[in-house]
Amino acid sequence: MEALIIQALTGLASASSLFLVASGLSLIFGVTRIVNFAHGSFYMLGAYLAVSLLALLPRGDPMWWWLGVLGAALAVGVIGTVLEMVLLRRIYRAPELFQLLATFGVVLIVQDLVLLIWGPQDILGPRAPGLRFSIEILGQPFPVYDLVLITIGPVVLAGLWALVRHTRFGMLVRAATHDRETVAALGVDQRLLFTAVFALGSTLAGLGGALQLPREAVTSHMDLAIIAEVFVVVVVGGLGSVPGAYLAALLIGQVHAFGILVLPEITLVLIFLVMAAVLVVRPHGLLGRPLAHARGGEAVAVLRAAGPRVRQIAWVALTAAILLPLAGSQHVVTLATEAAVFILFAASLHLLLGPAGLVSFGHAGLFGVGAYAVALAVKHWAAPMAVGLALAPFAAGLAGAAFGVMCAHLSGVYLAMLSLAFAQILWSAAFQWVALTGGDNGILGVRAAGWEGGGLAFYYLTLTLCLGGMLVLRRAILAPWGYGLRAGRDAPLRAAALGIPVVRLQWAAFAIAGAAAGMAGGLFAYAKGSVFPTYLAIPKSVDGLLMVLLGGIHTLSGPLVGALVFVGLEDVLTRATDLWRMALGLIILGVVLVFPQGVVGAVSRRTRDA
Amino acid sequence: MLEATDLVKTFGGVRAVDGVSLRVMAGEVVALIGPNGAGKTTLFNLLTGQLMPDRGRLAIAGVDTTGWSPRRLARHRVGRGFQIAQAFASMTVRENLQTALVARDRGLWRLWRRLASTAVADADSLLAAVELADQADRPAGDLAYGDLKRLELALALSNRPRLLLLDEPTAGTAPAERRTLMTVAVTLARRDHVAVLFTEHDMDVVFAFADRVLVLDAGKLIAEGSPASVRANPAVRRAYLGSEA
Repeated sequence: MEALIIQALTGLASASSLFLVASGLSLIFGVTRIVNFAHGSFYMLGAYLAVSLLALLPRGDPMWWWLGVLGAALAVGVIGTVLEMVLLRRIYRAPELFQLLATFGVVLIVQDLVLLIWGPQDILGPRAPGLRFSIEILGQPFPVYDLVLITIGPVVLAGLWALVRHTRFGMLVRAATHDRETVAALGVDQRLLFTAVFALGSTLAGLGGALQLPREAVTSHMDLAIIAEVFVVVVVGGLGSVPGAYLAALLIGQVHAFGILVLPEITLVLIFLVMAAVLVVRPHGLLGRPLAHARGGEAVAVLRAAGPRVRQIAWVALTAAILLPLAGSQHVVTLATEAAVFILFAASLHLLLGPAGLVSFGHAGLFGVGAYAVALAVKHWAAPMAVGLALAPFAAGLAGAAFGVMCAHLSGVYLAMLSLAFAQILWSAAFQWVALTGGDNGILGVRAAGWEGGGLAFYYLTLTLCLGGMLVLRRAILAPWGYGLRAGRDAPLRAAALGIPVVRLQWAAFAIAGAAAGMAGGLFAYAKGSVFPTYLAIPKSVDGLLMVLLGGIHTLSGPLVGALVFVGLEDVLTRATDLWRMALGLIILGVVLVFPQGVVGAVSRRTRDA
Repeated sequence: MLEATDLVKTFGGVRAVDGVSLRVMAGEVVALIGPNGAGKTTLFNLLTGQLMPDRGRLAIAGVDTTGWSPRRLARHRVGRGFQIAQAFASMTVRENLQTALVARDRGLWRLWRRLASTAVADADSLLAAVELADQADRPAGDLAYGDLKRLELALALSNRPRLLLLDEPTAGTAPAERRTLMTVAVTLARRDHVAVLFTEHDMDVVFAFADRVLVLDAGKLIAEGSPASVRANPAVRRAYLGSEA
């Protein structure tokens, strides 16, 4: 019994830091309608900056320690303000997906900056002077610092509540959260309001990160780890609701604390199930309200089957791909194999993003399920390639279907956040369940005799399966099923009034896209001869998004072109610089700001033939 | 064809629809009018399955349809038009109808056959009926609003409805366009013996096309009858002048 109470208290302490980060995200979303993926980066920066700041300040004095923590939080607030003014201001009117992607570009840039400044090793920050001891609660030792954290949560909640309820600033925040068009029409300076909210939100995230110093080591993984959990918290609490975020943080903190007690490996899965259960009962979260549709009409192009000119280009390209090994370079064949795999991966993601209108930020999760299915089958059953390649799409299709059941009825940002959390959970399963997956070391020796990755036979097999898979997806998009999906995306009420089973069609889209991504993942495993958790990590999902966006969402040939451009780009970048994440982040920002229609979209707008 | 009994819907203590009962017969064209805030839209959303009634029953073609979803109602051959026309912007006009027709025939689960070669003749005859044949290959997103309203009407007719529910079918169109639009709708409905219930702000349209008029005020039906009798009804005059003048 005593142990349970202690565990509950630990859960409360975790809830406080979760709440600090989540409340900032929720405030920012409420007012600007942007889901800021870089919010986890603010959290991480808060921790790193606190380490550096505390190293400069006198040690041992509690006052300096707290001042250092506050200083780090304020510094993060300044960084957030600058980011808002330089970047976000330009994309408030952009399509949702571009906003999400732009903030993810920031995540990548910050990751490389952190590695550059603080290095790759974990850092242990100084603990709070005067609070380093434990007291006895019911005969069990409990860190005093955690007690302080437990009180900070409600204090911040009360402070935010007072700010939102009783100040002019708070009144504007509430008004903008409710209906920002009207607030703008009333002559409120939106730019100032947005910047102020962003400053406040990022300061809270920085504070959350800095306050973690005494509890855990500072690492460059903190950003994505916290953002996945925070997404779950704000979705469960209801986007835009600060008290909801607190309730949800309490709930998730407790699930976390007790999950670890029961079965550490499945804690994250447990959290996901809790969230799914909440969303079934309350689709907008505990205290959330349905979002007003505040989106300017996105220009939607008519999808067309390829015209004669595009067909000609396609035949030339296919011939080139078949003749490619004649060039004789091993590197080219390896690269072309990889490109083929990513063409199928991008095409499967395009099915969701484009025709189905489902924004997924966790598509690599399905890719990775395919890869691990192959690797596990080879490792444990010495499965032949035919079995492996049948298993990969099957397993990933099932995973896609399972995810679809939970999330197909959700819209826009909710889906983006949950798909990211879903992939992050798969990633931590692959990373932590060492007995099954080998953890960070991955699974090696994924081979089939005669079909070695980099070999000619495997190249042609991959080319056939991937291009074939892409053509099948294309065909389905131009079949009644694809039109039904687009109907649900273009005008959901009209689709329902025509008897179109939108949710079920979308659910099938998840399963089909999952199967295709799984096939790509399975082939990738054979191509590399090994699998690692990075295959299903979030950056891989973002690679996919970037491929689709480079090609353009509203074109059928987009994913193919996008994947080719991306693989070429990545090859050049990784060879040219160690800072490829930063380079990629800058490219993302460039694409979002310059080519909101994607490369193929931009070209076809000029030529009117794609 | 449509029979609603004692429908009630409350929003936070306000009875938006307060015990409304109405019937529409097959082949009959009925207008639902009332001043702003009378509860027309709420009543309409109850009839189309967008909202669940707190109380009351709904029967269509002799089947109890209380609480049915819009999708299930569509399968029961109820057609509906939206106040703000909704079509599939990323498709051509013809593809819009092909999709609707394929959905009616439950053919959406085909993943291989191309839509392009499906239901072309039926789509074109519907387009001809709403006088939109010349726009068949244009993207629906590029249509002028009046044409979009026609497309909307064609979509609403695509499942061979026995009951057609039109929410302000002429809203947002030019006065000259309104008559042609309603003439097309009513002619097609009478030809196929469809029951029509429509809400409308333009009284000229109401009195020109409705067989019968229902007047809603403060969530209750306050009058019912032929256009002429409703026009002469003092309660109706009071409702309109009292709240709008």
